[in-house]
Amino acid sequence: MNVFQLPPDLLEGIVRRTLLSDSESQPLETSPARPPPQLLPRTTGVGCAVCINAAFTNVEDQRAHYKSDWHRYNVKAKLSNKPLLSEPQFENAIADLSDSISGSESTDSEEDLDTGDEAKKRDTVHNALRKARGASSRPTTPDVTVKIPRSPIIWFHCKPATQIGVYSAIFPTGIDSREYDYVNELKAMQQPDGERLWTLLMTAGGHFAGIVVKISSSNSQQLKVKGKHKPSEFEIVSHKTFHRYTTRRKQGGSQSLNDNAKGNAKSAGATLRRYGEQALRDDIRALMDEWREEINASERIWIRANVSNKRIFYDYEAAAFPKDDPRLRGFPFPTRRPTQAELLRCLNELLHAKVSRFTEEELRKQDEELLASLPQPKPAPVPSVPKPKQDKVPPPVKLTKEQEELRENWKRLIEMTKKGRLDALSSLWDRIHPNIQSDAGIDTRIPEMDGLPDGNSTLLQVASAAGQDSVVQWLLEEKGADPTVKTVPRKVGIEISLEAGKAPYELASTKSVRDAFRRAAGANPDRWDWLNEGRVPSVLSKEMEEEQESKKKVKRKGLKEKMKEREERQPSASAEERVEHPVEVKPSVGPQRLGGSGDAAGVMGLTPEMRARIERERRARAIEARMQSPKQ
Amino acid sequence: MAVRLQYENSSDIGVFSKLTNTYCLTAIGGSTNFYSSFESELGDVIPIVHASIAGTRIIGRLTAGNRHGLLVPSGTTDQELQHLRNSLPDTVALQRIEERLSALGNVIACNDHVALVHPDIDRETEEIIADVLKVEVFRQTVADNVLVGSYCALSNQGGLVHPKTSIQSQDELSSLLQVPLVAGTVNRGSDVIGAGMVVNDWCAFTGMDTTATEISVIEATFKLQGHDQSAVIGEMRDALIDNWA
Repeated sequence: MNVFQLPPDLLEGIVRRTLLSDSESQPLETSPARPPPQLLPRTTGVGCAVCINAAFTNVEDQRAHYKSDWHRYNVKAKLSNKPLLSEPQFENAIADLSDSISGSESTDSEEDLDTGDEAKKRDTVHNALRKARGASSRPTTPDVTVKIPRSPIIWFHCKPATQIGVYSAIFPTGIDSREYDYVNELKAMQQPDGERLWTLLMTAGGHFAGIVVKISSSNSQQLKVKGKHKPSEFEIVSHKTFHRYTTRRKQGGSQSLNDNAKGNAKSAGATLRRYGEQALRDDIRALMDEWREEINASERIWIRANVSNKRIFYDYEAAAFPKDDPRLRGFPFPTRRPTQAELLRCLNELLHAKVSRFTEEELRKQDEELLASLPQPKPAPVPSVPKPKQDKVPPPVKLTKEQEELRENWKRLIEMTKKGRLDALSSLWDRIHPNIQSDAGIDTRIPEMDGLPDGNSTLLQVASAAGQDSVVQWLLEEKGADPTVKTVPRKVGIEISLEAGKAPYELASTKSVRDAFRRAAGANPDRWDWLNEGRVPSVLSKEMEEEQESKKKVKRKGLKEKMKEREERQPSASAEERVEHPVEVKPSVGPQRLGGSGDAAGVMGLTPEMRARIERERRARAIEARMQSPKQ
Repeated sequence: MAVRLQYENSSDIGVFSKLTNTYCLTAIGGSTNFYSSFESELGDVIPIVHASIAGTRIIGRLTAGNRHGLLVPSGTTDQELQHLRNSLPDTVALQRIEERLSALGNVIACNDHVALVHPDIDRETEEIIADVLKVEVFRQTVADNVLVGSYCALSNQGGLVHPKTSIQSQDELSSLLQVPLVAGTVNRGSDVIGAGMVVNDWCAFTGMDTTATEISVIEATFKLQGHDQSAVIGEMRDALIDNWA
């Protein structure tokens, strides 16, 4: 759909869409800096400092994790200050990517000639990162654009269920973007006010491509292109491409950059490239002169060039347009090598509005999910001196005898679930479940009472968060617990506040628990809406597991042979020594609560000397602990 | 044993030399003092080779290696490669790498079993590192710096990392490397550990500016003298921690 030819009925009730306009969510989205991801309490000692919620049962798992694509993605994302992904999120991102990998024709993929699985796998992380960067230019995922505070696309919503996205660069500049009324401007753009000229110029690496196009602005006066029957949305007025040899092969960069940095190089190649740069500049400037009239009549001038190359266009006496021309725009999306085909692709990308069809409820849900997925601001550190309880908590309500009993039963259930004592749990459940007056059976939410942890969540959620895979399996397969029950925010008196709206699968802290969910989904695929409501990314059947197992075996075998080979060749002591190095895994000693170590609060009220002393002791202990662990 | 030395009035000796368990490379320079210091310590144990890489003297930052092999960047000339091949023991594999990040010494930190590498390094390069150096390769950062080779020094006995490495990531790295790590400095507080010192399993060389305290931390960390690492906590404790806290 052409942005200048939107259907009039669509424009009737059009409004600009912003992320959740209710006041309560406002502080969340305006929080200036992204707080660090929360460290959730781990069930086991070994973890990864980068990846969210990664926990492993042994060091082999941990080392395998460090080689995984998920970890590599997060390391790179952390370095470039992008949001870190949890494992299910990463799997989803990769699944979304799988079609775009095969269709990519970027220059780097041209270089890797070895196609196939290996090459694909190699680029997965790269592509995922690139996608996270350029997500906004994809028409199919409109919801991703809101994630970035300043998106290049402005979204409009039309009443029943249609959204239109238009690049903000198309609108005029010079007006405050917050106050600016994009809707009126969009309506004004639909007026058939004669013809509209756009100039598009690109230069990079010795290539230059430029076109001037005439864009038809209403349905009635579509232009006829010579030799083609189909009326087109635009007509090319003039076009030109050049190529000169300017870039330094293998070293990269342009000759002039190198000359400026290191002084003039004397080689024949350098002379050729210097000449090429000069000639390219002269060619472009001559062309600009030739096109002067069209450029002057243009409504927008789109330029892709790096800083030094931009000077070709306006850094001379008789330039066709000044540096601060309000019509100048950069392309708001990544572009490839400057060719005419690339220019036409960019023109189409700019001209065509992105369309998505979601109802208002779906949109609201998406927004909420998005806000929920944003990292929560760090909670204030817990003060070390506990305040007198009477201040906050109302005097405990007297419970009746039955309530007392109910509470005790729940307490024991939760404890057994968390410790993974399956036999005791199942017998206790059989004994007490008639007493629990609820129709929900196993999915009953734990009542919110004093002294009862995990109020308002189900047993499945508790088991999943505690990493008890056997309990999860029992609940799902034998008791038929509902994996689609979401968490609800809890009230006062809790240590760990779970984020609301999470399915039990998303609470899972270890891979074995997640596998238990996927296995149960494989066994009973029709029982629940596993994939959507349960948020289980994929099912795991017996065959798939066997296949994975056999793959692992083959891999392990290969590794063993390699090791053997190595040892045979060099039967030195140090190789064996290393194998024997026992890796003692310390349980993470930090306090099991949110907000990092929280130790800062402990030394709050002390004098600086005391604080220094405590700090000193702590460091000494940490060094001591590290020194002792790998010693034979 | 840790020795202080200088390369033409510069304390960054890790830039101008490379030390492993089976060979030592030193830069070609105006004075032979630098070479002699290595000679006196290592003379009859391992070969010490005068070398240049791609015509430069910063061989420590351009190469990466351990007792199994040596990796040199694509800029290395055929002549230099031939000279290295002739001088190094036959058991040491020598390989030239086509990699965009050509300062291999800055992007690779390794001992004889494990290598930490820059997160952006090529997949092919990663495989070559694993094959030639016979190590497991992990893409990691040290104190959020991607130049892992510059900010740490590793041997099979221990490792010294950037002073601002968090306790958590020290734990993580030491479980990868399976050697104990200590956060510290060289050359009177310089945090570029890799540039300030070179180390193998039985001796270390540091810049002339290194203080006595730093030397004793280095000796304890890399187990170079009679006393082991617990000395960092025992004897040196007061001197060290007063400085830090």
